[in-house]
Amino acid sequence: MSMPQTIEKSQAINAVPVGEGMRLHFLHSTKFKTAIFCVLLRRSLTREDATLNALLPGVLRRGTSKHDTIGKINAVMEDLYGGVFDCQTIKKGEQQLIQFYFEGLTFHDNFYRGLEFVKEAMLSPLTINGAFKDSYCAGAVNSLKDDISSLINNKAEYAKERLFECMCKNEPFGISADGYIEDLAFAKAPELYKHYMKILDASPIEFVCLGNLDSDELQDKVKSLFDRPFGRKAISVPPSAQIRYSPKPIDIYRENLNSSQGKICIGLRAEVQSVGPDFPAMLLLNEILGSGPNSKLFTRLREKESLCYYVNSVFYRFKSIILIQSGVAPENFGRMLDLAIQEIDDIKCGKISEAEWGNARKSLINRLRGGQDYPSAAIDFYTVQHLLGDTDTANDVIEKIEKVALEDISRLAGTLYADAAFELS
Amino acid sequence: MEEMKSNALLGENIFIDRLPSGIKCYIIPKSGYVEKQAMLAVRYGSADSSYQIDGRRLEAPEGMAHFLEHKMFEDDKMAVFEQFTMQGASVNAFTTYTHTAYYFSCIDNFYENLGLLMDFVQKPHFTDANVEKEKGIIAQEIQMYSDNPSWKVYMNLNQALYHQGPLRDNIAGTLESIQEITKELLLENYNAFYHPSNMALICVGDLDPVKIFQTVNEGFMEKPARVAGRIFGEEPACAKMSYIEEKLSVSMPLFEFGFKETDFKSGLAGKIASSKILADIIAGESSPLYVSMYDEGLIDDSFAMDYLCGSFYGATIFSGASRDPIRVRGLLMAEISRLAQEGIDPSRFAAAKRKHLGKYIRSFNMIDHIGVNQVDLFSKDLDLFDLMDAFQSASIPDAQSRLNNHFLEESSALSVVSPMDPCLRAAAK
Repeated sequence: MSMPQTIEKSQAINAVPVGEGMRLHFLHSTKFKTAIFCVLLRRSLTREDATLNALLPGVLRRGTSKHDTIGKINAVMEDLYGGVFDCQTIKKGEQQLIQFYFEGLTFHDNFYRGLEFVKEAMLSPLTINGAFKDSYCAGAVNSLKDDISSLINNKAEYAKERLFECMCKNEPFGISADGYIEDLAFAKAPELYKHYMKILDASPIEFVCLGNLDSDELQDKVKSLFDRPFGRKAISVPPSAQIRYSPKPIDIYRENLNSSQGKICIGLRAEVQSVGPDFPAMLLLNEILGSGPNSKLFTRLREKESLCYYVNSVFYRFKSIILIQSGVAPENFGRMLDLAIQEIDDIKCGKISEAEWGNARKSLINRLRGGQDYPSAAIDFYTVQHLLGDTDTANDVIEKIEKVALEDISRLAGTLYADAAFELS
Repeated sequence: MEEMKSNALLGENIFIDRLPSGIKCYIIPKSGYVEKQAMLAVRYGSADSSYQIDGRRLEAPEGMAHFLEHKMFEDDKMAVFEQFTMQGASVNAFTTYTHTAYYFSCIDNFYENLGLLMDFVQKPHFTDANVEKEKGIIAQEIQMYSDNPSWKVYMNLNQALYHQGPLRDNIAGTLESIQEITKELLLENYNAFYHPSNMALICVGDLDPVKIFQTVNEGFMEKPARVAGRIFGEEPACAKMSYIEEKLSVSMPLFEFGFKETDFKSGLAGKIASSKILADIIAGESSPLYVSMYDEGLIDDSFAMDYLCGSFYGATIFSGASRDPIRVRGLLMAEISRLAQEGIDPSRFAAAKRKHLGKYIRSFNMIDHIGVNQVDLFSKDLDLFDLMDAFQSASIPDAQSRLNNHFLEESSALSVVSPMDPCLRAAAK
């Protein structure tokens, strides 16, 4: 199959060192109006640090040494033709990433002025007497408390988080990257600043950039802006996520929030390594099971049984977990679970029609190809590959998917077991 | 007659033509993109439940346009979803107050998929069984939305702003109203609105406009124009009520504070541009009001503002989460009065305009955004370049006049969704 190469390889940069423990990744593409620049500080996801890490963006977004209020920071972005600056924490497997993000139009020096601002926000946050400003820290504490509490506003998301919390209670993956309200009591400005200094000192840092830029100019710019002597010496790379696999009967967790519609989340585990020959087959298995309107779950549970409006499955590659989620009347929770298990059993027995097989392959391959047209999807694909140490491009993954056999799918489905379900009513 | 518009700052072109069948085509070529998208929009939404056709006045059950959208995916041979997937495309649809849109995206076989799209939207296949089956699915969709506090706070705002009319109704209808829908009613509504002269086709991607015009010409037959007319009652300028509140399981009050549109004479593109810029000047992220509310902890990062409109309705809405939405309303009203008295600061106007221009250019990054935006603008008789022109030509005198005439207390309402007690317990866990 001939593949249009829309992320131009000629100018791409893969993991070029730009300082101690710092690497630059550049995806060159001429078609977008804007370019994107992400800085990722990589940390292990631990209960001790999760809340402090989650607090940092709320403080770092508030002020820098040169722009000491959120209004002044936002005015810088307005001046850059509505540039987007953000700082947030992201969970990737069992790592917690602190991300600085800038997106801006690429004409004149607009984009590089944005990079200069990212440097300022990251390396020169507003400090008073060697600590973050007290009121900004207190504001971030309140705002994070509100964010954590507001998870219940989105019932589907809440049910998913609770499932992982229950199912993975003895694994880092069960820790919330948004932090914990009870841990916020210990968060004070001096300690938080000390924590941030430690992170700047010891975290591997990835710079991921996408857009229509000159790779040499970008590399020079990133080196000159970020390669500063801020004492980086004891850099520790967070360990990869551990895949747990020990089949057992399903645990069912229930909670009542007086919802109009019930939500069910089912967590399944498979015995598949994140990187290796079975990964492409696992993507295809998930596609057949519950990704899109031709999947087994959608055609059976929605189209045939009229049980729900949405039902889908998502593969969490870092943990070899498949999540099935749906909104359904609480009296149908049991039926939903039974039918979902039946569909998985069918895959185990190789009961996959020619149409299911062909449609799933086409949908999956097209999504991987089309991802190059979406800046955030292209960056996410690249970042996940890099974090896992997988050197395959999207085209490589597609080639491997094309070689997957029906027996591979049945064999992998044979390793699946339902570990836990969470029912929210 | 084909028309091509260009915009140098945007660096894009659009080709527009109304074909002999009556359908209007908008083509936005995007070279270098692998994905291609086509959207077929019908100017028929939930607001069209009362209509007039062939001299008769008809009333459809609430949720009819949305139900019809679901049922158009039936086919007597093979499910429409599967037909598209077999040709490497993914297909979907949505319904709004003013329009219904069917769309696919693909990488290969664009013209074959375009044929499928035109075909299935022109061939309804309703049976008693497939209509009954859909009621269970749509009931779950309605339940899903009723658990969504952001949707509820917006729907309640419409209840408060409007005295009557279709914006007060749910797009998907109610659990009761969908029970009244039959295959005969679906067909009656389909025949009343699904006419090429009431439709538009929007194509975005690395595509050849000539070939698309040709394919669409072959795909739609010329038919005598027979399109139903919307019926709306007279809507007073003032809001029906100034405050509405509902309790749901949320952690903190959510609010939407809206100003109802009362000017239906001025050009829509200019109103959209000046309202968005003005909302930013009043409480945008670099405004003094935003900073003071943020510092006080009265608003958080969810605070946002926008102007939402159709050809017959519109509202500027400030929304977010706050412990004290009534105080947020008071501060917004005070800032509006101050700006009305002191006049708009030219540097604030320039900064807000610059930001919106940049945001608008950025929206051309993604094929799906371009398509959805053009579908929405079609329902307003506008195209993407009209709006770009409006942002570029926005002026302080226009904004000042809009400030004085649009942001009126009597045409405003505050909608609040506040926490229920059990939920507070859950949140504190």
